[in-house]
Amino acid sequence: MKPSVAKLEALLHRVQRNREAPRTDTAVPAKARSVTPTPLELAVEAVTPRPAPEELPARAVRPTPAAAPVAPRRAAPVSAEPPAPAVPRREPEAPPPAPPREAPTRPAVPKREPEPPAPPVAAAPVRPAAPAAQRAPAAPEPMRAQSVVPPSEPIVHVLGATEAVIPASTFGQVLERSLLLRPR
Amino acid sequence: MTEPQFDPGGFYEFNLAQGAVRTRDGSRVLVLSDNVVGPLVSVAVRNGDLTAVRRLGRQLGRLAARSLGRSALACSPETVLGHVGSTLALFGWGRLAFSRWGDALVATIDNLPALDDEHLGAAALLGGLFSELGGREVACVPVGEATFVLVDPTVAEQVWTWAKAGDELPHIVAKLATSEKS
Repeated sequence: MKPSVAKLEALLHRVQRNREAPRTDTAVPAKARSVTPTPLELAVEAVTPRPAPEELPARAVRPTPAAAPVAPRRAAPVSAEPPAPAVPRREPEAPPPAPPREAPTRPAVPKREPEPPAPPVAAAPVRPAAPAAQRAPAAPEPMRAQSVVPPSEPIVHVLGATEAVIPASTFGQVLERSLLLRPR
Repeated sequence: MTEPQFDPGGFYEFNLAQGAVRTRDGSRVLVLSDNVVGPLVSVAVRNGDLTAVRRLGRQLGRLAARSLGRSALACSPETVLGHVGSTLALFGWGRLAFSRWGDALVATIDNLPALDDEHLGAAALLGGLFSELGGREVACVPVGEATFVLVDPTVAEQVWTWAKAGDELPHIVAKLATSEKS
């Protein structure tokens, strides 16, 4: 019986070794697992993030409304006034492409509007004023102002009792005749 | 013959470093408010001494003559008006215009600054100006709202008397006749 018992013990011992052996042998497959995750691991990874995303989505959902303000920010500068913020809030993803489409048209108009006032400004300085403004910055210390509106075309009126057509005469002749006037 | 064109460009030179303003002929000028000049002229009128204003008119006449480049007597009235009017405008004395009533040459200033009620300050200014341009003494007598008749100084008082009596410009001119020689 003793030898048989000894055999049994030996067999049990081998069995235990064999049971322990695969743990040591699994080192290689363990590495393989780490390299190529099993579908289970992928599934777990895919599942585990969900609960986290569920928490995140609550945050992520908030950011979308929070992102909504981002969208209006994009839309705000583009479409200056009203409708842009309302549209992007309802459709967070789709609308962003939409506003840029509207963007070029709307801003183009207001940008063109400010331009028209500019030309009148350029035209306003009149002839002498424009060169004055250009010269002023060029010569900083001695500035020369030319912003004087010259009088309109000089006109000499011919009036009087006689209504005679006055022949072309010089200023000296006209002045002389006036200085010759005496009381009757 | 081409008439000289008035060039307002660079008429004034503002020297910030020295705190001075000069005209392009080098004379120093002061920029004053009409609220300041008006009372000064009024005081001068009351004192009967408008020499300073007349001197200013002569200075303006010299500027205009220099701008013309030749004797104003040889230029057309339109050209002289352009240069004199521009010079006056640059000094802020309003917009000058000429008209002829018979043989009388009449100067009118629109937008004349308010100096004295009877426009004697402006009359002294124009008298000095046209005396400088004409090379002889010229009197500018106020005969209406900013309207002045250019006459010989010897008849200025008579014309002034008529104007003070209420005669309007056509009546005053009708009372004048050209003498053969002055």
